[in-house]
Amino acid sequence: MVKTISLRALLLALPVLCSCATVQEAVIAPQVSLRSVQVERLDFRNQTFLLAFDVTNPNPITLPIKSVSYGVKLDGMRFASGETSSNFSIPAGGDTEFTISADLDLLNTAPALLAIVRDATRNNIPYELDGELGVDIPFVKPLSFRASGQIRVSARGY
Amino acid sequence: MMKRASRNVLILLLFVGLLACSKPAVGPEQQIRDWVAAGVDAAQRKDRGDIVDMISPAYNDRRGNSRDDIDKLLRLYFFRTDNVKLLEKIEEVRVIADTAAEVLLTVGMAGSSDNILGFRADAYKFALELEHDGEEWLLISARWGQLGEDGVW
Repeated sequence: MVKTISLRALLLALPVLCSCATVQEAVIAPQVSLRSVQVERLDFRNQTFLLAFDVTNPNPITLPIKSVSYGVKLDGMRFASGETSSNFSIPAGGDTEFTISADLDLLNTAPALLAIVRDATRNNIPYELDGELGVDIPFVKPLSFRASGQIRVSARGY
Repeated sequence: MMKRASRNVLILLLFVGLLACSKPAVGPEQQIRDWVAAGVDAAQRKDRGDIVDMISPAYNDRRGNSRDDIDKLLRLYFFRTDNVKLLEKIEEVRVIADTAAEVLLTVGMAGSSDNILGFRADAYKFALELEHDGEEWLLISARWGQLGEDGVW
């Protein structure tokens, strides 16, 4: 216990004593964009959407991703947000995709969004995306991403 | 004259031999502690070659990294940082049959610009698996996680 406290004290004190660069900037944040939003399930109580993302890694090393936190706005309104543990890798200098399932209750929480989602099934609407990727590399902090564009909600079967 | 010189040389050699014999043998645990210290020193000197030499060509970890991958990662660390200051604490050394070992250690990196978040974001625990190839200890695998995460040790 005493050793643990000593280590913590040293770890806290050292950053103050030293002015060294960190590896926070060592890894360049990947570019993430929202590729598609698909209605997976739709009923009065719950609506499940599948959000598919494209991600590009500009770094010369593979990025092992252990968590994703995200927030998506459709037409300026918060549509979905959350954090999920993940286990995928983005190849060095390459790209990949990942999908997140979002369970919403639009009727109770954001009825105004229903009209936006309905509109988005017929037309492209603006989206904004932000979040962080947790990287499973020691001392590398979560990498932030932000993107915006146009998206159409796919509602096959509904 | 020649005989005396030969005798003196022989005595000298015996003396040196005795000195060598009397030097306390370094056990595996101390060898591994020295290995960790050498690795930290090499990292702080940003000597990638010295670190890579400590890694077995057969290295593989849970993320599928090879020795080459670790080399690339080190290149990135060292290229983008001016200084690397590490604070290590060996928690445990487990030696198995003098040819394999596991080291549990906590490593903090100094110089974080995010002091408010404190060490939690910058201190990691590592479980290093080593093997002795007959000449030296080499890293064969590793696990890591932030301090407070479960499942590393």
